[in-house]
Amino acid sequence: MPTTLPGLRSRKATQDPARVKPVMLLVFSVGGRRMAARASDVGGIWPWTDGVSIPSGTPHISAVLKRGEDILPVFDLAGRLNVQVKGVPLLCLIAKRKDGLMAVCIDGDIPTLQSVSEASIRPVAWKDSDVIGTCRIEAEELPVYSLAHLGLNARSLDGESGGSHAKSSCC
Amino acid sequence: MSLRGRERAVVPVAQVMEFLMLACGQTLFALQADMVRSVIRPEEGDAEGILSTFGIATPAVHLSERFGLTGSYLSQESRIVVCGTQAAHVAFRVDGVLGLHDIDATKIKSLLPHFTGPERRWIAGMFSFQQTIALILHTRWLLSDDRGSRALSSPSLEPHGHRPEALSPTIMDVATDQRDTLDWNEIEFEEVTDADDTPWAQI
Repeated sequence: MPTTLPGLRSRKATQDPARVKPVMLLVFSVGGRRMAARASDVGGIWPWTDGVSIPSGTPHISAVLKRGEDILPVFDLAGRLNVQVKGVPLLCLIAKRKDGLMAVCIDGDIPTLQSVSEASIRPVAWKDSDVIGTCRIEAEELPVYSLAHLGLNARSLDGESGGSHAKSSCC
Repeated sequence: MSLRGRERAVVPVAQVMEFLMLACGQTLFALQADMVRSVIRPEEGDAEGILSTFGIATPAVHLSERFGLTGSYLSQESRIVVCGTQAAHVAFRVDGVLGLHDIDATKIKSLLPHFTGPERRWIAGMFSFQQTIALILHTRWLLSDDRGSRALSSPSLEPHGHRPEALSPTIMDVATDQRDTLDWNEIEFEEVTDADDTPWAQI
């Protein structure tokens, strides 16, 4: 009968319950680049309507759009990534940025929801990036964007690099 | 004689503001009507002479150029707008004048906090107009010499960075001052870790 030596008993790996808790990610694409964001940071997906240009010196925010009685700023994520949105009709993703809702134009491909474990999101710290981590979804490593801080980390006018993962998934 | 007590009723009075609506490309601007002195057709024979009566000696530049952008001088509906106070006048060109519009001051919204650049000096607020949005021009900025690429290259959170001493504040400026001196509470969104019942799509 196999035994273990004292003190060398096999130890069951214990994981932080918060890290195994499922997290819902929304997978969408901008200019053909697939990316993900926490579903809890998304306020809705609407058909895209053109906004009103505003003379602005704020990087990537130079328009607003009207939605009922509300007026939302438009964040040009495609411009930040140096790509052009694809598909007709385009979609409007409502990002719950920490200072208020923001509209983002995304590709016409219908976004999908993916449930992943918190642990599967590998944190990254790319300079001047809104990407907080990467996550493997359907054999593809996708950048996970923080919509709560979208555009707040990079005040430069340079395009968002998106890191190697984002670039590799560009079509 | 009635012995019934009489109560003094306070009826809220809506403050109505009047704006001259201006088209500049696809964007609509609103200029406080009491600041407008004249609207001139550029092809009018003595446009320069009319401007000189207001003490304006330089040609009227396109409003877009005040923002450091390129303005078009091709619109057939183009107009030169003269505005100002007793102390100073300024003239600028727009692609069209849509007329006067009254709006309840309570319907005017401040520029969204996401805008953090020099546009906070240019735009005093915004309101819904027909099917679109009109941007209220900061008249004090219009009358200042803060313009063009210089304005774009000096982002500022301070909406009243360039205040010519000679200019008295306008109604809109006072309203903006009152709004900007209010204490703002930062709203923290609750971090939701369990997203099972999070609505994500409303297509």
